[in-house]
Amino acid sequence: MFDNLLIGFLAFADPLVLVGLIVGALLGYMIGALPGLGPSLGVALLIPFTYSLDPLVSIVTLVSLYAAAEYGGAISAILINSPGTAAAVATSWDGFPLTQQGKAGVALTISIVSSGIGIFISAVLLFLTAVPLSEFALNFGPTAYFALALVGLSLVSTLSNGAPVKGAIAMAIGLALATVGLDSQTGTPRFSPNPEFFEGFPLVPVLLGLFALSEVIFMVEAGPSAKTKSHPVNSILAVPLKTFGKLKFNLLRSSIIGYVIGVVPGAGASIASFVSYAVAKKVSKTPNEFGKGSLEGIAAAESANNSAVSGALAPLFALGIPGSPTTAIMIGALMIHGIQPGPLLFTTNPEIPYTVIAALWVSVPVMIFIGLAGARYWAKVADIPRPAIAAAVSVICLMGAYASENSMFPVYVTLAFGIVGYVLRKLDIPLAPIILALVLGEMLETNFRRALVISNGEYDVFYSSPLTLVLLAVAVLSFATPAVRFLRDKFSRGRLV
Amino acid sequence: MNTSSASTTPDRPKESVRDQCSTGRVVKAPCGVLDVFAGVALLCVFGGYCWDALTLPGPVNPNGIGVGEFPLIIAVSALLAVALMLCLGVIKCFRGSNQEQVAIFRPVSVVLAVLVLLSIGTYLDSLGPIIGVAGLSSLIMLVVGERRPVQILAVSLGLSFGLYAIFVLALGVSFS
Repeated sequence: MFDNLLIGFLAFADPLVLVGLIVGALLGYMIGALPGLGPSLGVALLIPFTYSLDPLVSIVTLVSLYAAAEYGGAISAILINSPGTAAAVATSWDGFPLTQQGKAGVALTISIVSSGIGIFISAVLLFLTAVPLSEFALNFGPTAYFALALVGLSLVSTLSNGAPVKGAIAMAIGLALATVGLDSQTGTPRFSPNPEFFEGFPLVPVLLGLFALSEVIFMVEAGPSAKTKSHPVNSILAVPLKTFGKLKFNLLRSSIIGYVIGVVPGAGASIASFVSYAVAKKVSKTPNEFGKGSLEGIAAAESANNSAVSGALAPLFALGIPGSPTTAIMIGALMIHGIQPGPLLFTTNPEIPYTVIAALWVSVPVMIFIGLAGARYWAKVADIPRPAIAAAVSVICLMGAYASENSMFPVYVTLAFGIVGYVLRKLDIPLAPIILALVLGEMLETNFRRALVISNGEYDVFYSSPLTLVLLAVAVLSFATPAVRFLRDKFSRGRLV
Repeated sequence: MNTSSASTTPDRPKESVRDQCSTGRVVKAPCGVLDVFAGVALLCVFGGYCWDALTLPGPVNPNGIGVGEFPLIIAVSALLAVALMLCLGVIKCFRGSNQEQVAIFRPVSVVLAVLVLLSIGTYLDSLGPIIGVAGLSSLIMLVVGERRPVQILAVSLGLSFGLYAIFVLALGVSFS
């Protein structure tokens, strides 16, 4: 394990890997600071530029962008009270009041350093847990894999936007899309009007359309942006070291909470930041300061949301199940390079997960430096005119789709899914479960069919192993809980009316 | 309603579209009515998918399942979920007055943007990376509301030459 970690660090002997990390960090800060864009869209837009890069450089750049976008979201949250990402909402509750008190620099320093500490601690947890998890998963049979994929889908779908029915529809759309193309076991074409569909829907154009091109149409709706009112950034680095000493237990606790929540597919960085903020407030000696400029609040939210980044990477590397929409998109990037995430990754391509773990550690000083040195400039990013962003996103989408196969088919796919994505978002049907189901669909079907062949067509194979039973129970519970909550809310609201 | 960014979380930290477009034209529709329309459309889509799944060949291995059976399970589950959405939509419609509204701001611009994307996107390979990208970016900027010619020219030329350098010169992407 430690030998492999050394291999991970040695990857940085290649200057391109370090350049990738720095470029990813710069782009991530920029995308995170821009209200309206987020890590998912950032990673989706960057993938086309990584087609011809070495897989290590590619994945390090993407992970660096993912982590930095979570950092960057806090900058606009603190300075202009407009969180760049959903995960930075809790940061704005205390960050912006500090800015109004003339302590923007203090808030930024606390948030950026807390983010770094969160990444550092969570990378340790990733290192300690991902390998045992993958070794455990090596013993999984087809039924356990089927149940595991179902757990991933159920958690994500039911957590989406609080609308379980629409989450389930999104999941069904993704699963249906995953069945398009030649059947992997018999070679029979399914739902393919012409041979271009035989390979199935290409993942990158689908996600470029759903996530990025649909956002362009929302930008058109929003119209040209007004200039934001920014506050002066002062007192950067004016935070004494003993302040962090006082926050050490808060940072440790929040990082662990963030990591654990990040591991759960679908929970993500925003839930991590809200939960750890709430816990920090509960155990704080000064809960009254929360919401008025509490350093504890900023530290808890920021360390947790960045810790969730590593948490989301654990199921991706160890089980092949994405822990967040952004990691689902990263699967696309790995697949382009012929790398299949899952338990075998640690034996077939150990350099990938270990370099990512090393990159998370190396990224801490890099991102703290970039964040603190450029704080006042990152705030200006929010002033980039919306028409220019819309133009850039749309042309990168179409050029990126074309470049994925050097043909027009992916461009048509991107255009179609851009419009479909816009319509679905208007209908409040979440997009992330579509991508997750598209990614997990093949795993689900292959293992379902394999299990039935092994059991001579007997369905009781799915409840013959305790592990499968437990996983299926979790899946059923996670499907049922939001539905029950939804019905209970409807019922109680009806009684009130 | 989801008005910005592709995040899955219900908490929308993004700028409110309504704030930006309070003065522009708005098309509104009740949420329930849209759910019913979407439900009917999805019923047709998944109905067709289900029909196609039924026509797929049976299993080669007598112990296994055919290529159409897993899609059939998806189709049935999807049809159930869509039927539920349809029912909820009908209930919302009957409830009447205090229904949530779905708004499309600047509808003409939205339609224009879709047309621009489709028309230039469809002919991207014929137009080539420089003309295609410059045309698309300048038209999208115009549609979003940019009216300063210098900005439009600078951004579209910068994007077209920048992306040409990256995709064509560096990544070796070829256009017909």
